Parts: sequence; structure tokens; C-alpha cells
Amino acid sequence: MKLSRRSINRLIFGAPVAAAAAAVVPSALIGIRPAAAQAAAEAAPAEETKPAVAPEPSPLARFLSKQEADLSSEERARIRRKVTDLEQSLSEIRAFKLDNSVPPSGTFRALRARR
Amino acid sequence: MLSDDILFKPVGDLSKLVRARQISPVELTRACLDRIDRLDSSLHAFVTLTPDLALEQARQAEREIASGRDRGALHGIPYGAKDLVATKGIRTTWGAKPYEHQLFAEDATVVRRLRDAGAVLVGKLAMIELAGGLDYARGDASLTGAAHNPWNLKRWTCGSSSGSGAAVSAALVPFAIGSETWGSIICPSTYCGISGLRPTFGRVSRRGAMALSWSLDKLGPMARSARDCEIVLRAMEGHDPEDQYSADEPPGPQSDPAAARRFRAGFLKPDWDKYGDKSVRRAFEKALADLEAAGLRLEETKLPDLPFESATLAILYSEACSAFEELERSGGARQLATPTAFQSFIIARAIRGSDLVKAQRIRTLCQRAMADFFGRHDVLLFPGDLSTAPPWDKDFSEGGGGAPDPAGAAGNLCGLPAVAVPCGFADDQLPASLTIMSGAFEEAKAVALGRLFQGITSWHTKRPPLTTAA
Repeated sequence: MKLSRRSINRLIFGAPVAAAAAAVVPSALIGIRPAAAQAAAEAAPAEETKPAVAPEPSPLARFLSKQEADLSSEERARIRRKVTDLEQSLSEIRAFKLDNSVPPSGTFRALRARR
Repeated sequence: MLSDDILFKPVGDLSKLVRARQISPVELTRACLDRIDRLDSSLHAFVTLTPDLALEQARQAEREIASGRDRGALHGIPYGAKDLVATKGIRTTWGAKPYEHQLFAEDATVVRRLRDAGAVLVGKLAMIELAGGLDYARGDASLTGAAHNPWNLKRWTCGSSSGSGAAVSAALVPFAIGSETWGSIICPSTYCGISGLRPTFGRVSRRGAMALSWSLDKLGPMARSARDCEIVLRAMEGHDPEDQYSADEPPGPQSDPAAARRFRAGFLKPDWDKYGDKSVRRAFEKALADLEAAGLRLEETKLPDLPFESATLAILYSEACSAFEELERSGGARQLATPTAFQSFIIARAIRGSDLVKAQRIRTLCQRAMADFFGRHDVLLFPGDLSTAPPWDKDFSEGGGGAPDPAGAAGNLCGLPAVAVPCGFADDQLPASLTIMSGAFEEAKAVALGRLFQGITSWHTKRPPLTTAA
């Protein structure tokens, strides 16, 4: 896996994922992007002109970054960014509307008896 | 001893010379080993060299060719394998301290297939620890430290197929095996100025390869040209019932560069005002102009509006933390070069079971949308990266070059093939690349356009200064 570009992106530009995605994508095809993500995407152009602002760390991020006494401040900041990155992704996933008919992509198959 | 010039020849040319008995596989292998001996102390591309095995395989190839037996285009051609594919009796470190002395009793399927094709294994190539799956922040997050970029030794090669990128770029081997979960073939190929092919998911067996993410991992070739990548893929591919995800698909057709001129080609226009390097933009746009001048009809396009990156991240985190669960339990993760790697396991617990299922359902939509997309387009073009290689000894967040990667996420999430080909140099004299993605099991289209491009440009023939100075 290469490095997480989005973590870097957030650190440098403070832009939400949805803003980055909105820069390269048109309207929805099948699934429906959540209103919150859409709103974030629409709000993005205004944010671009603002100076970079680090997102408020979540309780999990704060907890994690205090766990390791031997970590540097940069490493603790990195943990906070990782958590923020994942939480934003999870928010986007949880808010994404899906029809009941859409199955997971992994295909489960029954295995025949091995003789 | 063969000259270094020979080692810069593409696999296709070397193969003709070997099969015509104009050069000997043993001489060729010795030339590679000699060049590695001279240059690898600067590059750190190799973890383990296998000179005895290589010379034994080369001698066998020589005998067979002399007796009229022809195993195909890789017969007698040396290569290196990323150190996450198992090699019988040769340590396989996965680039990580906890696995420093790991030995396997069998070769990975891909190593066996390359051996059957007559290729000569000269060594195992450096990589980012555990293919970067538990996070990393610097290029030296590896058992063997950072691989250095042959175009500038202070710069990184990208990862996680770091050694594969450096070794091919510096002509230590004619081709290498890399792996990609998200970016690990395309990015090192881009930064190192070589060609790399990420095959369709399931095209190449992963049996015997380290699992980072069962539903995202792919093994693929890195070489001097798109055509070389295709030659190597032919030897690697094929159904393997021992890999549960292996696709039972026939080999694709051979690529046809002439047909590529008639492709429906789309390109993505990155937000260059916000991200990246202006001189990389120039190289990318010049590449598009060159292709248009060659007769290709190009149109700007956009990816479907779907959360490719978020779904990929959730699936990757979940699978990687499951794959290395034992490393967490044993405390082995604390031996990794990245001090924050251990926390990945705790962070991953934020992902609920329903989140993972949801991500897999979103993946279904993404696959359908991309299948439709490649029903309308033969190929999609975009830059391999918007910036060039950063320093290997700095935290990546200091560089400022990070940009979103929706095309990389879409390609990997949906298991689609892509080829990266060098398309020029940025102002810092480091390579930039054009990436060509195509529909599932349509590697031949991406390769065809790569070959067309390499037929009208010469970027893939450029040699890094390290090698001319040596």
C-alpha cells in the first residue's frame, strides 16, 4: 500500500474527503450520496480559500495519542490524523443510502463435499 | 562481461538475443549480479541475493536453449521478486523485523510459474514493511531501510514495491515482481521512471504471497516498457485453485498498438490549482497532446460519483488488521520500524461489522458503475502522481504534495487493471507518469495504449544518472 494521501491532504489543506471527491466527480449514478456529504462537498469551495485548520480530534484520537509515552508529538499528531481520516470515511459510508437489493461484493459459495 | 548497455535492453530484445544464442543466460545473470554488486549499496533495492540459485537456473536455461528446448520469452532472463512472495528455502521477510528470518517450504505460485518459464531469480527485493498495511510515514519504514531512487539518491522510490522500482530503474534486473493493494505498483513505477502493470484482481495467483488485504491484493510486473510487462504477465497469469480469489479466465489477447488509435479514451483533469506540481502537469498534458497527435481521440471525463476512497479504506483497514492479528497479539507489531503501527489495530476497532458490510455493498455499486464506465470508454488516462518523489528521510506530511486518489481507489476497489508509463520529467529532473486504466480483464487495451505511447516517445528509454556515472 502506498502512503495515505488523504491524511496528508487533510493535514496540509484541511479539506474534507467529500470536497476532494467532489472535485473529480459528477452526479450520482446508482447509490445516493448522503445529504451531509453533499453539503460538505458544496461547502468545499468556500473552505478552500481559508487557511488550513486541523480538525478537532475525536475522543478516540485523543485517547490513542496519549497511550504511548515514547511517541513524539509528530507521531501523536499522525495518530490523530489517522483516526480522523477513518472516522470521516466511516461517516461517509454510514450516511450513504443503499437500496435493500444491493448485496455485498464478496460472493459466498457453498463448497461441495471433498472426497 | 556483458556491457551495462545490454542490461538496459527491454525483455523482448534480451529474449531474442538469448534464444538466438547471441548472449548467454549465464553471462547475462553474471552481468546483473555484478551490477547489483556495484550499485546496490547506494540503492538498497535488494534484501537477499540468490547468486547460487541464479547461476544454477541460468546454466540450466543455457543447456536447454543449446539443446533446442524453448520455454518462451523469459527463458534465461534474470528477475527479482518483491520480498513478500515465498521462495523455498530463501528467507522471505515481508520487509518487517518480526519476519526477518521467515522461511517457507514452497515457492509461491508466481515464482513457480516464472521458474517454469525459464526465468532466473537473482534475489528478493526490498519493500515497505508489511506492504504498508499497518501504516507508515516515511520511506525508510522497512527492515532494510529506504530504497533510494536511481534518479536522485536523496529521493524515495515510493512503496511498497520500493526495491522493485529501484532495481528495474537502475537496470539491476530486466524485470521485477511487485504487488499492489492500493498504489504499490503504479506509484513506484511512476517515481522510478519505469513501466508497471497492475493486473485485474484474480488474474495472477497470490498463493504464497503475503496477504495484506485478500480482496485487494494483486501481483504484477514492473519492467522497462509496457510490452515487457505484458510478456511477463503472460508467464505469471492463469487460474490457480489454491488461491480462492483466482479468476478462471482465459489469457487475454495480445495487445495491438495500432488498434489503440481507435480507442475511446477518456482522461481525468486533476485539480492542478490545488494539488501537485506544475511541471508534472506539463508532462501529463504533453503526453495527452502526443497521443492526440498520433490519432487518438481524447475526451475529458469524470469518475462516477461514489465514495471509492472511503470504501477502500474501510475494507483495507479491516482486512489488514485481521491479516496481522497475531502480530498484535504477540506484541510483534512493536518491532516494526513505524512506531505508530501498533495503534492501527486499535484504530481499526472503530469499524463496525455493519460498516464493513456496507463498504462491501458500496463496492458492488462501484463495480457496476465502473463496468458501465468501461462500456463507454476503452481506457481512462490520468497522471500516476501529481508530484514527483519526495525525500526518503522525511515524514510525507512535510512534503505538501498529497492529493486525493479517487482513480487509484476506484481501480483497486473494483479490481481493474492499469499500466503506468513514463511521460517525461518534472523541473526537479524526476520522472512523471501517465497511467492507463482499462476494464476488468482488458489488460491488453491498457498495454496497447502504453505501447502506442512508447512507440511515439522515448521517455521509457531514458537512463538515470546514477547508472551513467557508475
